[in-house]
Amino acid sequence: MNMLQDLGTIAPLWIVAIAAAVVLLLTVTGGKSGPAPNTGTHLVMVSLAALAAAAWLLVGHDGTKTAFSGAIVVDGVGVLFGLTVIAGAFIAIMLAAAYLTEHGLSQGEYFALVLLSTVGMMMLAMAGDLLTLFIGLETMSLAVYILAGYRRSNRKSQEAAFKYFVFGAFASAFALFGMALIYGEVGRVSGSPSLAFAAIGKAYGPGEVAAIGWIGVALVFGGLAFKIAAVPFHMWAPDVYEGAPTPSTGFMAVGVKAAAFAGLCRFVAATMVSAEGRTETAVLSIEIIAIITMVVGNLLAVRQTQIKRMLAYSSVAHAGYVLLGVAAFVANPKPETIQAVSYYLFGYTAMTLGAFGVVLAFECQDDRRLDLPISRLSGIGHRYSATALALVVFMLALAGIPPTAGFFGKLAVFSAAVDAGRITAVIIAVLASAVGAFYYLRIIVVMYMRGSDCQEKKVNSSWLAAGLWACAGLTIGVGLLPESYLVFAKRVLTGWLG
Amino acid sequence: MIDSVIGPTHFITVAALLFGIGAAGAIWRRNALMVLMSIELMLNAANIVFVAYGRQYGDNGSHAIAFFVMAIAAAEAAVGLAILIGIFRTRQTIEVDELDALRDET
Amino acid sequence: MLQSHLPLFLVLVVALGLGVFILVVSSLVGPKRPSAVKADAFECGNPPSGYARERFGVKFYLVAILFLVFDIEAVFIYPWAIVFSDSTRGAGTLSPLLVVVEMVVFVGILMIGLAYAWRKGALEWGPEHGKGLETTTAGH
Repeated sequence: MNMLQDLGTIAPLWIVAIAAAVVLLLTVTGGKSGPAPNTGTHLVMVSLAALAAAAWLLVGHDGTKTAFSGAIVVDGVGVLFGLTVIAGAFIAIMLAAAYLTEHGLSQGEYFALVLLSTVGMMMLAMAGDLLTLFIGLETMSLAVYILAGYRRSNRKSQEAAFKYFVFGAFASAFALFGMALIYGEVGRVSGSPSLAFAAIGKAYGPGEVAAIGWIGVALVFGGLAFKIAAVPFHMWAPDVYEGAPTPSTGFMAVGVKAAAFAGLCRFVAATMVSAEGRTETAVLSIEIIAIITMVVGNLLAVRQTQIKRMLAYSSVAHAGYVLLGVAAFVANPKPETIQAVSYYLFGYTAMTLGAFGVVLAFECQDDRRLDLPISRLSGIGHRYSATALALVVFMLALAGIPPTAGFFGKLAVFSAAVDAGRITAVIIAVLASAVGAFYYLRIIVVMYMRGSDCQEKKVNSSWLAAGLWACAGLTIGVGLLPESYLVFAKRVLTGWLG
Repeated sequence: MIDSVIGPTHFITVAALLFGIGAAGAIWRRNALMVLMSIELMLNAANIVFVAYGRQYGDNGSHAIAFFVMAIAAAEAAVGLAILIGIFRTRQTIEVDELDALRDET
Repeated sequence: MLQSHLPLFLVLVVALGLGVFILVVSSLVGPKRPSAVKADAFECGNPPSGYARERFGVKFYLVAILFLVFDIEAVFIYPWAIVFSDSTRGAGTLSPLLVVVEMVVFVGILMIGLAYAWRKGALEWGPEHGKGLETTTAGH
């Protein structure tokens, strides 16, 4: 039966969704005498098992499959970015297990929200039309808004949630209006309006699209650029990153970004790649945004004294590097470029979550200050050598120093951009990442500085340790063996755009 | 009969105006509830565009799109209200200007 | 003409008759203890008159949220009904059973949400549950 085939194709989505429902119900089962515990290993286990199952299905996926009349497309982009967001959710849940226990917060709702958000992210990565993209975007965002405000009696957490919500809803409204304009423009060009990427590609390809259609494209692009925190739309990032509970911050820094980039890749592939005569304008616009994003992100990060705010600006800068890859893809549409972008984001997921994991281990337990001043890291290199060493790995990776995933990611994206002939932009990007190296290395220096009477208490949790090990392992492993990732990426991307 | 007077351009114009009013409200209103309502207005403006184009080109799919958008708008409003309740419980106000705990310190 | 409207007429008669019957019986049989509160206009738990811009209790927003979420889902039942009626006449490509199963799944998902909200105590809001959600989630 057709329906069963479709359900089989989207199995990773509903496995994770069902796990979310199960986790949610587990927290409210039990009678009046003994209400179900809201914390516990079983909740973590159910969540992780579902994510692992979904990842296993995606790894084994072959070729391109569509479901529900093309609304969902499981192809190379869907698999690669889907795996990235699953990895992000997996590690974020481990970090959260440590954090929530430490702060005495209930776990069930948190994990359920992470899982639901992951479903949204996978939908976004597998969207076959703009409506699925929008629904995925909102499913992802609504859950993450709540995750940002999870410490709901804490003023900063509330404020982070509210800011993220208002800016996010505002951005998605713009994206939706843009989709409506595209819908009408496709109707005008082809006679039957549609949101399917295939139809949009056909209508936008020959370059007969009127200005209103391009306004629509710009609006959707802006909406997605907000989610990845590209520069004109990045103002929310530092505040929200600071105020949100640290595991939420890590999750939104990696998952939301990777998923939004997946949506962006699909969107530019449909609207810009085949548009004759418009390509150069499109490439140039994306490239300018990319350059501004990396320069502004890096320059503002240098001035930060709080580590979560610094990582926020650093994530803005990284969005700039990846956007350069997207520009290269529009200029020179090859699957290899998508491969480079997804490799970058996969490495970025591991190292950023790792950095937030270390922040989580040392941050203040005081409710009024959620952030961790960089100066308070001084001396931890001597006292907690293993955790400090992990942070060294993550900082080196974020700075882009070999042999980490950060270095090979930058190498892959920048060489894709050189291939596409965007030499100037690459030079600026290299200079910007040199500035970036300064503030990452400063943290390492501070950690091994002597003198401070290190009073920092460290969070002790086997979940946290496991999460940090996983991040460090991925950061170095993906860095040392980029080939194995790229071979896999090549296999699943075969036929994409072909 | 009505079609001869009111065409697709009129619908799009109305939608664009509504969207503009919503965007202006979301930016300038100081009451968080008003901001929420303004954002809803923006989403519904997009709905009008969808339905207007769907009618113009004879595609009933636009109605389904509008349904999905309505459901998402409701979910969004629910999350927004929930966040506002949390804020009101600790601060006894939902004026946007009062939310100033997070800022750049440098 | 008359024939086809007969059921409608019968419904009207039954509805009116039932209403009158209930009112009459309750006024004859029911106990009567009039008080100032009962004589007031009924306004869903709010004071019926006062300054229009008064603040509502925050509890109302909780109910509004739940209502919003569950109410809007009804919107999907209309297109579903059309698909279902098509499928029963063999017009669509789907079998009627499958269409029903789809709606059962959809409502089932809503039921999970309802069960969660119920068990969390979001639906209890008498004075003794004044804090609503607070009391049930803070612990553990």
